[in-house]
Amino acid sequence: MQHGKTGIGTALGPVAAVCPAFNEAESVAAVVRDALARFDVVIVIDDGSRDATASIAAAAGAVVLRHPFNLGVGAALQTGFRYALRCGATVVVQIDADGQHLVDQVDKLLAGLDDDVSMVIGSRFLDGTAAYASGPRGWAMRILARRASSLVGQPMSDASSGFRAIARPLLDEFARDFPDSYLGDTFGAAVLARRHGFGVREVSVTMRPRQGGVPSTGPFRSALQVARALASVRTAETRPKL
Amino acid sequence: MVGAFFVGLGGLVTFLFRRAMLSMRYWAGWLFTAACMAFGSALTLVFGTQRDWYWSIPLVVAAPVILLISVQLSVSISGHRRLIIRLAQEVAELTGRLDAATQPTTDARPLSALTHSDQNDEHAINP
Repeated sequence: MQHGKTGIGTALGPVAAVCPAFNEAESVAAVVRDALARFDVVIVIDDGSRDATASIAAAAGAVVLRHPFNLGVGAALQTGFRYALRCGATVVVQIDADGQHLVDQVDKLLAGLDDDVSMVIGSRFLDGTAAYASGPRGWAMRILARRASSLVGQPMSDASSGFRAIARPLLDEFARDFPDSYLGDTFGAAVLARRHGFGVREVSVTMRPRQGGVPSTGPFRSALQVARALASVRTAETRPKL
Repeated sequence: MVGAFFVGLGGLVTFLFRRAMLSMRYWAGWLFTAACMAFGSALTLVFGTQRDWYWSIPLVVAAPVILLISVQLSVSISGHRRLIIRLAQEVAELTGRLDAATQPTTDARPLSALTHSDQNDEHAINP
């Protein structure tokens, strides 16, 4: 079994990168090339892109799974988790296709995993060097962080960060049941992990601005969806397990 | 009485949402509708007269039926949405596995890099 290009994977088992992508043709090739140097496998889930994201990612060396239409980032991640498990991965690292997440920070995430912690979240704000965005976006991030801290039962500084490592057996749970609503893949997943009894940890990481393309959700729609996520998370948390 | 009905509607949609039979957007929409209706009913009781109620009797009678049918439609659509997502995910996975099986293997291909660590695992590909 070949695993652990970084060496860390030797202890953890095979590590896969899961990268959901929607209209990210500008940045996905560089993300895949960087990731291939660090991961055993890079899985790009093309979530119904209308541009050449899938073919560019495949040409760069990624395994590409194509959704026939846009299902949302939660569903895309779940597809990636299932495929990674079927390939034998024991750990996955979520990375964004827009180039915000630096693969040289992955070791920090993987080092945070242990027997008690199955999800490690890369936080931009944990060490205080980065500040929350200004305006409504920043307010929403603060509210989400506060709510996540309350629901997860420990301080959370960056509940909307999509840069995270997830290990089995939490990965098996997420392959079966993963939130598909907006913020479900970040905020909702941390809450769900705690609900399943798994440890969650934040580690400080550095991120960079989006390297290409445009965000798929505008400010007004984002605010509406943040409000909806906050309103629903408590009810969703008490759902019977599927 | 009418207000209590709408409070009950809010309870019903929350129950359905918790059972994963109703998606979040419909739950939020129905809860908002129920809250508005309950509030409106309370206002009518406070400010309205008996006479003001006459014209609305048919609506009051028909409304529960219409609302229940609409909730049933929401449940049905939520279920279909869930199935469509699952189907699309399966298609994506199968296509990916076919691609991996039919294309020449390189270092970048997962099935050459990873072995099936646990053949008894429910996610593992059958040999």
